[in-house]
Amino acid sequence: MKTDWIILTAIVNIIFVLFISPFFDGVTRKIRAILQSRVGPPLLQSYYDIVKLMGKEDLISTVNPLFRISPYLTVITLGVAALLVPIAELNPPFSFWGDIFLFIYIITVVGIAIIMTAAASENPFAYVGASRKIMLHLSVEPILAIALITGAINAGSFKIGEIVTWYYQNGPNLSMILATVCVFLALQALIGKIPFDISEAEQEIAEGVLIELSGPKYACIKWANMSKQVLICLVFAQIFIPWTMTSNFLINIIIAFFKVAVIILISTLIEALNPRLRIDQALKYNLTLAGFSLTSIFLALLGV
Amino acid sequence: MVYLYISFLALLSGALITSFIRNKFVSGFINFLLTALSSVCLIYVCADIFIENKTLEDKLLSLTPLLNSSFLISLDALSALFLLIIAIVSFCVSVFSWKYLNAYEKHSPTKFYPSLMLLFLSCIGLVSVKDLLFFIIFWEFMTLTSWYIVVFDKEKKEALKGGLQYFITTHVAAVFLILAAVILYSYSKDFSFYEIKKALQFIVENNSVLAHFVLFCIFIAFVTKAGILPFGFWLPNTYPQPPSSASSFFGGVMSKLAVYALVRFFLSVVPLSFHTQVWGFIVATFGVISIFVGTLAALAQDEAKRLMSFHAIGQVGYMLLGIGVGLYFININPFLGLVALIGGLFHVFNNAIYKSLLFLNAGAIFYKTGTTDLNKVSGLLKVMPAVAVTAIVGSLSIAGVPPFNGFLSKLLIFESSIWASQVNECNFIVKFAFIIFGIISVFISAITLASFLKFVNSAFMGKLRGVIDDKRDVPFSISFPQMILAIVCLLAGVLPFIPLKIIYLAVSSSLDISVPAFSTVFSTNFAGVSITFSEGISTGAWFPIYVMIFVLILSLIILGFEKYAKSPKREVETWYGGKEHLPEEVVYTGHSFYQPFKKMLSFKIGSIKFVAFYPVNLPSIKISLPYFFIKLLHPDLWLYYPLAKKIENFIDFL
Amino acid sequence: MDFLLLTLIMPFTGALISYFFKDKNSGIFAVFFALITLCFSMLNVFSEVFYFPKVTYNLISFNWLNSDFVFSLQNDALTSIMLILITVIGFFVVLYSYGYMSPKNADHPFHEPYGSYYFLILLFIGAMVGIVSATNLLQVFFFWEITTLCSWALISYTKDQTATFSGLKAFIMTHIGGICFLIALAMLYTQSKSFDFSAISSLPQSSKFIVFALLFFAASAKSAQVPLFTWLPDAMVAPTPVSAYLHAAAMVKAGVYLVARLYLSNPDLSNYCAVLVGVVSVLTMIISVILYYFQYDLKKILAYSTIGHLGYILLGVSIGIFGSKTGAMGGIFHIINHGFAKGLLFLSVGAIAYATGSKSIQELGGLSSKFPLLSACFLVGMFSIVGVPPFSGFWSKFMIFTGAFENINTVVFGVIAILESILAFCWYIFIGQKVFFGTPTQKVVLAKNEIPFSIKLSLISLLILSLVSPLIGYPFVKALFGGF
Repeated sequence: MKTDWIILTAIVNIIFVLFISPFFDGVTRKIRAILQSRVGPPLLQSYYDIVKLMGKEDLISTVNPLFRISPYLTVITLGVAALLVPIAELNPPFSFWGDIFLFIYIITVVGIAIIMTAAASENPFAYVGASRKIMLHLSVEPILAIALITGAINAGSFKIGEIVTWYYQNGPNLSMILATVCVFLALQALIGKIPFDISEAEQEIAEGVLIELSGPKYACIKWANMSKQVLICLVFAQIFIPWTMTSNFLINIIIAFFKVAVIILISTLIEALNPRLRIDQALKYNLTLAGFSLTSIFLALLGV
Repeated sequence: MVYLYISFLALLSGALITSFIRNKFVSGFINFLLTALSSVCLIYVCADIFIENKTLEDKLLSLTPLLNSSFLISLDALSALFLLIIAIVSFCVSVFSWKYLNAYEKHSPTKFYPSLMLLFLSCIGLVSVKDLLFFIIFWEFMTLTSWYIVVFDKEKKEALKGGLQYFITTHVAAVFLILAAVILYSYSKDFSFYEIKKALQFIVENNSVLAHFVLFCIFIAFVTKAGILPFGFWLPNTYPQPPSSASSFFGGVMSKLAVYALVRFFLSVVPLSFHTQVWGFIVATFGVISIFVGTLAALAQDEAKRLMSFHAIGQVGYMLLGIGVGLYFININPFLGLVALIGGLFHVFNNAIYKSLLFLNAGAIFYKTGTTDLNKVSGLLKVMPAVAVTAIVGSLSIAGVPPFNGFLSKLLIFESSIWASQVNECNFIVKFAFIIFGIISVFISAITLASFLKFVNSAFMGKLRGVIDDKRDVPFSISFPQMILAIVCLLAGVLPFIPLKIIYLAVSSSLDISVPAFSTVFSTNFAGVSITFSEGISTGAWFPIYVMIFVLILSLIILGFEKYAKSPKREVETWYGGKEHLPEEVVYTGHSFYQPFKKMLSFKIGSIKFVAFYPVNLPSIKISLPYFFIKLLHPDLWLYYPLAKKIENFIDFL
Repeated sequence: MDFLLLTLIMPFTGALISYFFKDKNSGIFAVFFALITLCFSMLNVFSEVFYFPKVTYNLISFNWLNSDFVFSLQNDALTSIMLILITVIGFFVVLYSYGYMSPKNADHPFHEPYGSYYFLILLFIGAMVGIVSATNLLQVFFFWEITTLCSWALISYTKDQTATFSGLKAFIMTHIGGICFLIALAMLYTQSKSFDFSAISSLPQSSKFIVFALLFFAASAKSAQVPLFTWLPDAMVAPTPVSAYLHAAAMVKAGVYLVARLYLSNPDLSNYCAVLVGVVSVLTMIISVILYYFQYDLKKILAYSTIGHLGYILLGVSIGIFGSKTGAMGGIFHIINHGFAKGLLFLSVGAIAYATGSKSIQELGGLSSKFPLLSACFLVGMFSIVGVPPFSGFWSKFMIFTGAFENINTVVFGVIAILESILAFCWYIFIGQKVFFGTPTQKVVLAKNEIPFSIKLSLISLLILSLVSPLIGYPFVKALFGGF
């Protein structure tokens, strides 16, 4: 693999996840507004928000240095995670440096960084949010892990690129379809949107983990949430339904863009039409789903 | 070899000297000096062995003709690996103890330092000998000295209870080891590991049932000490009791020596056969049980050291999972077996470092606040930032977050247990079981993270609470060992090829079959490793340096962005939703974390209540003997006195 | 040989001399003579036994029962082990008594005169030396009955009702054994015209077992084995140094010495003998370990533990008769290890009683803060007894286990012994923690008695001896192992 190709695809991934994500967020806001019979903000409103927040006053409620660092860490780790998702071709750009477990853990680190920010802010609301966020995360992480492991068993490799390649070449089998369905059912929980935005519930705990954030930190966390939405949708679109790939990488990127747009549309519909779950209901839902998704492993072992 | 004896002598003389010195400062200093000497010697020995990949042997004294046993010291790479762990941890522990013992004002150091140094000594002896009799002696001596440290605070009821449970359980387990030893001796007529291996070979070939029984005895003896559930029920009651520096040695080294013993026996004493496969599976199963129950139970703990003790159980489970998978596959699929064994042993190394670090953190909290209850302290980052940072490093390491050291070892364990699916020689149910094991351990890894985030969040974050003495600052000698351990955590994670190479040597030197070469299993460079499960195809990878470089670039960009934005900064009070509250009124204590999750995991079977899968109110077992049986044991009452009476009457009659 | 003879004579001389002093002086003389005895026995052991495996001295020859009867002394490795035990512990017990036998004793004040006490105890030492240095069974029997007498007098020393009763009980029970000994001697002499230890081998097969069984019954009565074991716990009413001596070195050790001696002199004992010894010893072990759990008096626990450990020694010998040298040597090794450890335990319990006036487990607690020396002594003794390595008891117990598993017939015995070891350990460690750790109880807080120097000295010495006792015993056991 050539170095310049790696750098090129890496830049594509970074741009896709970090820099196009506010646009997708704008899209979701627009859709939500239409559903609620409002006019809604312009599509680029999320960019304006970020830029505006970056220059706003930064209120510091604690001397804790983690409070200052960890918001930026969330964005950085999302950038790292972006490099492990295939967009321009079947192999993700940095497939050589890590595998599915690295991916799972990097997603975890995003959560850790947000939780650390919340805990460092010394606000009890933030603590409640952090506690909920951890619980949600640990209940939903196994679903993604099981789905990826199903792929790994089928493909005989832990590298994301090889899993996707195998999947693309051999077509879907029963176990992979099941895994895909499970990930789809967990998609809202993975993104952290309604009905699973329990850790940031505005009405109950005043945005929980975000309560003490302001200025550039708030911008970063907002930005990270948008990017995470795109990242998870990308994972679902590119790893679990990798069709169709062409030999031209530009076309591939455009296909990926539209796939993600469709998934975000669905996700937004779910978000707009559903109420928020209680934390115990969410836990029960996720863990049941995780238990159910073990079936896909069983099927994969049987070879179907 | 001479250096090993120097370290022996240093510790022994230290134990003797410190048992007569009542001044805490002086005896702490002597302890520090001599332990440092012994650590330096040990590290030299280890380096010598690793660099030249050789085995040092020496026979000191022989007990023939009474018993065919000799004090056979034999250091191979596996022993050296554990000597290295002991050297690092014992050094840190003794530096830490020096000032830390001041927190126990009423207690004399003569109760602590001699037994601590004897504990170091017995640990060193345990990994150095290759003779079963002396192995048992060091094993029991370790139990004895550690028991004495557990009951350090002799007026505390829990300490006594913990000590009693600990000593009785581990002694009973050690008796199983003795049983195995005498059975093996009746075949081998010699206690050296080489002869015992031959005897076991014979037993495995001729008497399968006996072979399983012997392996069962060995297994019970070691997993009890390692704290594998259900045999390790004593551990959470025991480890929190001694001063934290000793707890740290217990959690970091002592329970890992049980894993050493297991590896030593199953790799170099038990011949590889179908039996090792069966027991490999059993080891992995028990490992997973402890991973699951131990770590979940930790979620429900509010006391820092008790929480860590439960994690000690869970983490040992990870090691056993790796080792069990390795034992199962080493014959069928050497690549997979080797990776799993290396994963297990790497986890031992990592765990020794971060587990002792975390216990030391808890000790520092105790030093500052007089308690380790997470409901009573918070916000300590403001008064001891170094400790807080090391605690975060330790917590992330134990949760296996990249780039810290726990990640790679866990990665190896996950991947090898899941890779079982690709091995055609193995049974479908076994395959499925191994994959479930792997998934459980992935899931529990998140739980580990959750419970350590709780530890960090409630102890170090938030408003400052719980400090009893403002003047008692945490001295450098307390934070320094934690920094060392934190740096080792980071280094072992970022430069994984050094520990991997050492551990590869340890595994390959203790196995007597030929294993795939290092370069075919792990293709490493300075930046990381890629893992190979079958000839020539890399299937997993972890290159921390590349990731770090990229992270660095990204963070430069984003921080530059922030600098450019130049937002004004202002310090404000915490916002409580617009109301005026005292911080104490609105505190979110450690107990409040994860309540819904804990509630979900709690259930009742009969009258036994399980909180997070761990029984909290076990009914006490009462054994009573029937009265006539007791009477039967007193022949006075039913035989001698009546008889004497009869004879007396008879004489009167005459 | 002079040294051995002097070792035998000195205690008797000392006994007579100290009898004539009524006050504290008698104690000083007793200590002096015990020390001389100790010196002579050490000189004897170290001048002779390392060069000769077995030395016999003929002293007086006289005509009796139509044959030349020779009164002679012998010294070999087994005798040396016993001599070390008897004279060393004897000396420390006498030294300890000097402090213990005082009106200030909180447990039971002892008033002058002490003459008879020291007389009896020195006589005891002398009689034991006589038993272990005798060359034939008749001589053994002679000294055997002296020890019975001494124990009777010493147990009932305090002269209250229970003491008199227990003394009488001990006397009757051990004497029943003595009668069996006499019958065995008669049978032996009528059939083989000899009293030698090895004469049993020359007996016809049928009477061989009967003679051995009778001798073993005598020994088991003396060593408090099933069925005649009940006298020993009752004998705890004796002053603690006496109990210590009775248990650690004298009296009960005479029985196991006799069995070990018979085993060493008669290599061709039948398996029936082994089964007899083994079953009795294992039964004793089981009974004693069950009864541990019903005792709340420290001395009684130690008494039952002694019974069990004599069972261990006999089990070792039984395994030896079955053909495993390791087991037999383990049994003999256990004599010395158990002796020092049990002596230490008793003396420390005595010191506790001296200081606090109580021996009850319920009344004691948290001793370690106030009496660190006593705690150290008790714990070391305890770990030796229960066999936690590297303390002494482990080595001999381990040898017995090893021996038991060498022979498929004795595996059951081995398993039961291991089980006993675990159960005993549990109760001991419970008691150790209960009595020495925890918060001090009322009795301990109020204890005012200063522990006399002589008690401290003997405790410290025995502590060290108990730690190194495997090293002391090792050369002798090794000599025995190569010696037959």
